Amino acid sequence: MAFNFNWHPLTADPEFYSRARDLLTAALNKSPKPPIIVADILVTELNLGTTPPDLEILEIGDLADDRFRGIFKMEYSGDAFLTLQTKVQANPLNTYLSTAPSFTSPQPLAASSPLTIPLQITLSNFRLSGFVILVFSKAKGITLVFRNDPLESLVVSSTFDSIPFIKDYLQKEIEKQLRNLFQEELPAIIHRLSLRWWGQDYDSASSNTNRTPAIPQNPTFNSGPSLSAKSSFENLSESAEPGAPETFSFNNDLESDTLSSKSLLRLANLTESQRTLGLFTPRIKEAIYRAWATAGERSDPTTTPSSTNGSHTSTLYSSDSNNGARPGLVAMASSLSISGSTNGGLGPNGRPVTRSSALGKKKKTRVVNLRRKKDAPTSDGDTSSVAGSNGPESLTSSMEVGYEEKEHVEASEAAASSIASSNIPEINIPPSSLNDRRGEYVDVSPLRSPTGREPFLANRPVHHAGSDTKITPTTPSTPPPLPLPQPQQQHMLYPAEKSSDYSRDQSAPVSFFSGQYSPSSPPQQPQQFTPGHHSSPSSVSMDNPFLESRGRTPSSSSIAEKAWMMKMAGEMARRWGEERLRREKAEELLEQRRRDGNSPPPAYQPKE
Amino acid sequence: MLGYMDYVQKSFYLATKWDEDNSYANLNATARALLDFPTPKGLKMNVSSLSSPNFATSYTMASLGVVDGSVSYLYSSRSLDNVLNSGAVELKDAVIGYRDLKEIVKPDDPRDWEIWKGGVRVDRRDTLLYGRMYLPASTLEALYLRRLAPTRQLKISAVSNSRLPNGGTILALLQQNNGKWCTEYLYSTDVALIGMRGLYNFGFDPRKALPKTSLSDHRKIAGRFSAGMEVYYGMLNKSGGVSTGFRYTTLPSNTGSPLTMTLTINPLMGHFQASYAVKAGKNSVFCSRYDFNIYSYESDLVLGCELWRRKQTVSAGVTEAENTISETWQPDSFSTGGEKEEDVTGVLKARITQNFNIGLLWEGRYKQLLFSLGSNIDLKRREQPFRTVGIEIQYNS
Repeated sequence: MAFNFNWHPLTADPEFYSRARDLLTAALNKSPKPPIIVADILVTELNLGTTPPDLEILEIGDLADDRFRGIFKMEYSGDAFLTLQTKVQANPLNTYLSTAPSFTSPQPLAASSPLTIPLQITLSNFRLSGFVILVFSKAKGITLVFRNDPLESLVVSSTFDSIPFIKDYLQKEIEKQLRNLFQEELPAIIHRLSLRWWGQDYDSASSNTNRTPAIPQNPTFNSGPSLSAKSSFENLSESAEPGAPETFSFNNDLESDTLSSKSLLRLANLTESQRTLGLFTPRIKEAIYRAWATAGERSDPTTTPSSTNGSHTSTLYSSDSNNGARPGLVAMASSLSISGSTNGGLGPNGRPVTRSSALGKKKKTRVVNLRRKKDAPTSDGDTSSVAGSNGPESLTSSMEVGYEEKEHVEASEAAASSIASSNIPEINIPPSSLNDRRGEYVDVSPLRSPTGREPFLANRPVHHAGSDTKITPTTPSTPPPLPLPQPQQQHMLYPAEKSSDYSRDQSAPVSFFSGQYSPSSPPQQPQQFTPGHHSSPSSVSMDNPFLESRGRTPSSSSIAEKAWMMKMAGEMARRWGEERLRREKAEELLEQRRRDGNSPPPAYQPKE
Repeated sequence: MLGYMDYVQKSFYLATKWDEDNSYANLNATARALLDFPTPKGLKMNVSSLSSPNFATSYTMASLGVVDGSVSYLYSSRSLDNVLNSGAVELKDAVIGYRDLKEIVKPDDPRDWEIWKGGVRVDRRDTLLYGRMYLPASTLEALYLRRLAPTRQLKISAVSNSRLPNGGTILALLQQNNGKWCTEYLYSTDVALIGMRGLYNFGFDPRKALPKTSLSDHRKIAGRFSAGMEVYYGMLNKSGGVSTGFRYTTLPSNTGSPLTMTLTINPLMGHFQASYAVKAGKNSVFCSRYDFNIYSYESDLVLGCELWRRKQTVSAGVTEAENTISETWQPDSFSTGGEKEEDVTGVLKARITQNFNIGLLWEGRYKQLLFSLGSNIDLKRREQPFRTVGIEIQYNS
């Protein structure tokens, strides 16, 4: 694998510097300034220089078309410089008194009279060295965190270079501020910048199908694959049923995933209508409807199988009373085989999937694949169809699926537990996308769509903060609630992954997903969603209905399902443990490096 | 408005015959009182009492978004009989305003302070202890004041707060005042700051003047010119400060309008500050202050006034007569004005800066309560000119 790290495009964009200046200025003025600085700090000049930082990849925890997570060792000794302008208080007695309590102030008469002097500071010769954790996702932008204090040294030259006392003081103060900036402000700035870039990219992308407009600063991980995926996808769509192309176009338009202000507004309308039980639902053309924890969501899948109408969902609920989780699973498989029923099958699956990430993926794939191309292959067999269904799923699913599959292979190779936590969340995401697609196809009832969106939005912030740790807790919880559905889903997913479909799926389906779901539901989000589902009792009840509905078409997979379930549970537990081990290893590795003296990060504390 | 504890402290100075104004730190006290007065924010209530002539307590509660307060106690070895409750205190004592400087007097002879009883000296130095706890902020203020000698006073103040560097600071101030001149030496633990300031009064020397001649000169000496300077050096941050200042003020014996002029110069920072305050009538004082820095060319101009409102109980004829008298600026109108001060019902203070920032303060008495009502208005912000509004209520018993 290769990364294309573009440093110069940053400088080529004339707006980049002005924007970065603005953000830096805002950041510098946000935190309380030392009393010696009596005016706002203005960033007058900013140049990133021509020398890019040296990046050494220590670990890549997550990699896909639209997201990336990795740990780098960064060293920088380039020619970037920064010029600041502000006003300083030249009377040290004045600054001292401004911080001292008035009760013990010596109350000088005029010795503390102020003298403000304009000051220009140039920071240059940065020497940075540290560990960088970079998390990138199309929907959430870039999160860049310094694991330690990266600032090794810098040269501060100012108007007062001739006065050693002031020079030393400035050097000290600025270093202090910069350390703070690097560790607290810079991540926020980069994140905001990246969001803006993505916003622009999306705007342009919506018109052009091109998503390649690379994020200038960030390594462009996604552009290449996404394009290829798209093309393949398009081909598929053409070959597929007539209805398919529409859906595809829909997907492309679905850049709403980025949640532009417009779409946010619409979504807000939608959610409002649901909350108030208003009958009116604005129709959102390019929205992806997801069936999530909320009842409305669940209703979607149920409705979808029976028909596109929301009324059907209600009927499904009634059917929920029946305990037919296993049958439901069977139904799912059968539905896959049957073109007409496939949609419904997917819907029910999606719910259980949400509980277990793997299931979610399969649902998505099932739906899409069945309709368009692979109806025939999926229809081949019910239980056996699991494998076939997997194939379609993978097709429909995006790069992520492929990625997971790879991981799975690795896991199997290495005692079947490599990517545990990360994989699981990814799996979850696809279901959401599936639901969305359904919504598009069917014009899902308003209830579903709002609910789906709401959790998504709410989760967003969390996602940013979200880390692997969050994922892990969800995974363990998932197995108990959905024993039955899980096995089925797993069947579907794993066979598909392992099957030959895997290769095709990756190419074509990936493109699909990249368009739609990647923005809408970053991998981390699903994780959070899942806990919500579990917590809400209503969601559970809903799940049952799904299963039952499926149960109507119960056929044959109860025993196999059980076996799958057991397998899956074991696998998940293994992965989880593995992930833990991996982290510990990574920690140790970092520690070792530090001990070796490669670049001892000051802020980094050994766990000992 | 003067806080109760400040008022008690001022009474202590009076009782121990310590001239607070004869200090370089208070060289421009008049301009500060007229132009830098603080305006209250939110609601602040003060309940204080002098439970015994030697012991005072004060409770403060303020509500500005959050409720906070303070509890303070004061002990004085000298019985403070001159402390009056809020219903009886004269407004001019409770309000910081134009300072009518008094004639400097010859300090007591140290031997006058000696008290012998049965061949043993039993006199003690007067001491004042004061402590104040700010409750939510957990800040403790402490003050130790001791009259070491008729010409000497030691003042140690301390603040303790966990947020401060080193947990707090202590300031020690040794003052020496013999009327003709006053020197102060101080040390602050904050940055190991040492300081020295001195004030010298030109002309009349109360120590050398004979009592009789001083009385005969009373009419002659219409004003006093003082010069002083201060030097500070922070040993930890290796920085210092210097300033010098001059003041001319008329004395009660003056026949014209009482006025005070000050000029302070900070040669290191190139800062000049000139202020001029004049009592334009019995009920009004006007003050202006100009700041200029010769290095940065920064300047500032502040104008302020103080208007006294008096009861209209006196018959018109008398007031007219008074007015005519006051217009001639007979010294008596000021020296004997003490009786009429009782009529004061309120004081309005106003200031305006060159940025059109206006401060307004109305201080008065309602029944037994002293109150001050103030606001800060920024005319440049049209949409929301009132920056702060507040009222402070004080009840002392």
